[in-house]
Amino acid sequence: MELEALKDIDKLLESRKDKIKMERETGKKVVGYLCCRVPLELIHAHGMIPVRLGTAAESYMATGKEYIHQFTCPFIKCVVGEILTEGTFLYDNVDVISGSVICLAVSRALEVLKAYTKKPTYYLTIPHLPPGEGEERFFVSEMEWFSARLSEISGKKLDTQRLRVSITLYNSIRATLKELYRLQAMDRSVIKWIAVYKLIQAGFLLDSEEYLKLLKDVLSEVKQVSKNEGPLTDGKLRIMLSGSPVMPMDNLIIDTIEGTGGRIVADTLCTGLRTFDDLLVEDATLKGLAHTYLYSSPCASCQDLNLKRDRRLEKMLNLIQEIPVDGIIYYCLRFCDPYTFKDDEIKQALWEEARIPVMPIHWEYGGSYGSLWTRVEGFMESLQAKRKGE
Amino acid sequence: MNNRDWERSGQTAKRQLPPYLVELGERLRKTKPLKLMDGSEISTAEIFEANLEFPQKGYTHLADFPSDFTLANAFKHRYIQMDVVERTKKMREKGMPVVASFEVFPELIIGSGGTFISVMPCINEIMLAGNFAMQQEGHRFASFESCPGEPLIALWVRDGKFPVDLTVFATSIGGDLPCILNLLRRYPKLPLVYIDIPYNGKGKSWALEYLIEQLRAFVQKLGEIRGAEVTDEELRNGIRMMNQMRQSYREYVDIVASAETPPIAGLENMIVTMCAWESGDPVAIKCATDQLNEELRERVKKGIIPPTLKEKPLKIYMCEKMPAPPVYSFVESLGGILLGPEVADSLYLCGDVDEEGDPYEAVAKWYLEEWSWSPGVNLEERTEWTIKTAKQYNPDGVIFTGVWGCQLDPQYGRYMADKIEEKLGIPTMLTVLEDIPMEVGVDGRFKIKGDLRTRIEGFVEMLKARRGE
Repeated sequence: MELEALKDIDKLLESRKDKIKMERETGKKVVGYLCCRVPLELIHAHGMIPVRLGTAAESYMATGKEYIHQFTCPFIKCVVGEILTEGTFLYDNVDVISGSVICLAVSRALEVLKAYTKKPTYYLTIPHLPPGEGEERFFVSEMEWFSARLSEISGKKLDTQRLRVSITLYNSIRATLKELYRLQAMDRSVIKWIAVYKLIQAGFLLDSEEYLKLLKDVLSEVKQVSKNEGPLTDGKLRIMLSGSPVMPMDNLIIDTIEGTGGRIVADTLCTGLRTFDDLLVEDATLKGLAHTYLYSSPCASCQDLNLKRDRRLEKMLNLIQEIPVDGIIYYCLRFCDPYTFKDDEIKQALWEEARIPVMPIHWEYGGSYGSLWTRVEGFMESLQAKRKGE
Repeated sequence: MNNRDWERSGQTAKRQLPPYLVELGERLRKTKPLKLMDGSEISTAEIFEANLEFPQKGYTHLADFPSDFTLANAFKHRYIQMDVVERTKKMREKGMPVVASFEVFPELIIGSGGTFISVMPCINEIMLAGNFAMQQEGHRFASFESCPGEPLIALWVRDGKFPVDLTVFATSIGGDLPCILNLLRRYPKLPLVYIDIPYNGKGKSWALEYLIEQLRAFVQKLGEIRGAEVTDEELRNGIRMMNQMRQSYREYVDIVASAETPPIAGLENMIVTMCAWESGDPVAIKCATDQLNEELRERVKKGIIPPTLKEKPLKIYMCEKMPAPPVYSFVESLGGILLGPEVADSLYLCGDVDEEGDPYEAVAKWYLEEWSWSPGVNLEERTEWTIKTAKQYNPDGVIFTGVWGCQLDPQYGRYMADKIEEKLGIPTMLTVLEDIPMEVGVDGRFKIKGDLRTRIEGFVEMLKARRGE
């Protein structure tokens, strides 16, 4: 069933683009950001508009390939292609490019974008090593530096009160998302993961106050419908989607899972759960912001040389405890080395620790859909058999 | 030149050497011995014998190189490169810490009384010994999408083929290595170190401090391995040794780049440049390079041209990495020569590491701010440096070689090529080096792959037309 509050989401997104254009005319700057560790509350506190970069489209990928090498993941190619394609919303409206840098491809993309767009481009470099005192010292300074660059561009010094307000606002957004996420994963739920996923990605563009209102409306309706109509049940296989980014319009893997008898109930994606999970800032200062982001669940690019202490693996295992799943699809985009190189390790570790089957899918946009379907279908059959105890 | 009789030359006790090898032996014997870092010396007779024996030791495709047997001192570099595993084993037996690495802070490793081993022996194993299965194993270990060379270091460490005490990689040094290091964590007995060089860290005091802190911990670990604390003076000594090697390399580049007809052919140049950043012994490299420089100066003075080169060849600078061996002789057959590559030049032409102050700060500063390939340095600065370096060679064109799967430098190729064309007004070409069997042919006969052959022919024709030839 479709929820009333979700009906107008596409219209809302479209009208947001017009509003952004108007806001730019008043002097507001748009910060196009890359990756889920750019502190949106800091951009908001500077009176700027954060817009996440990246939409999956073969035309963007083709343009991206003109500027960045073929040995780059399709996600990055699309990011580069979209912002360098004349006439796109991002091409016309992004004033500043920023990125939280941990993966090599993101750093390369930022440099290439800086060179070809000629727009101010700023890194927020995240330590690769597991967080400790040295990493935190570095990251606090890095956060201060990043904030100073935003001040230069916006012409506004960071106001601590304003930062507190922004942090509170984003904390509310993330808390609401967390609740919706918990509800979608319930065995009997009126909202699906795909709807929540779409909602998460709406936040990449929407104004944060407007976005919070939308989330609260959806949450309230979900609770109301659950009360009035009673819960729905489908008995489908419960799947976690993990691995490389699944950006807006990259629906194929999602549709395939859902089309072959699965129901996604959890993810660990940097375009999904990781955009809000572990990001409730307790100390509403720059230092507090740095602390929260540093200790949040890491990208696969992070180095933890002790497998037993790996925070990403630990996060997956905790999530499975919280949201039980039958199996995991580990989605690796071509040349996304951080995730691809670890597919075997993840498969082995999750089986040993939790007896959860993992199916790595290696994918390039425009790949053979038939083979994708067959592989996922086969995996679903094996999960079905496992469920039945065969 | 057919070198197949070289392959057979060391097989019998009473051997009959072909004249070119007899001549090489005589030339080598007139040169000085090779000094190693541990104070020992390798006589020229030993170097000659070792070179004769490499084909019998399994490196059968070495004979397929169209080598310049008249350039005696280049065989010292070949010896240093081919003998690195054996030499490292011996050094380890003497108590020297051995680190598996990839251009990661050699000053500190050497200064701590250690040595390092890198990817070159693995490449030799595939390319010269024809062990193509190892290439597949590397891809299986990491991913088919990985670099053909880098996973092999981890593979050899995993399987104990490299006798190492520590494996260390760093951010953005090697495109896939940070990810590959993670593959080794499944083997808890292997000591691993990761050093995080912050992206875009140039000019940021906190980035420098963060790196210095990690370097101190790294050196402490090296001290624990050798059983004695490492002093600052020892580290300064390591810096000096590496700087001296840089100085020799700079002289080498000056000689090669300034000659209208370079006194060394492309393949020998590749051996010399690769050897410099892969051998783990800066003293040996300096010793060999100083002697080679003398020989090259003599050649320039006398107008001696390498046998495979034409007079005043088209000079093509290699940006990023270097193509596979068949490409060098093919370019020379068309009247050109490949010079560089940027990857080696970047390590030796970016200036010296400060020898006087705090050694940790000096090393951190160099790798974060001065090295053109540093993750701390941005694309614009790197490009400026590359243009300046390429210009030194007075090239007719530039070829970019992006290694398959590499996330490191091919991504910058388009921008750098655009800028080179704009600033130097010369044509550029972007190429890809795929896996090694693909590049050298499974029969190991070093025939250039078809698609690249056509592209290079077209490129060289264009360069010739621009010269009015």
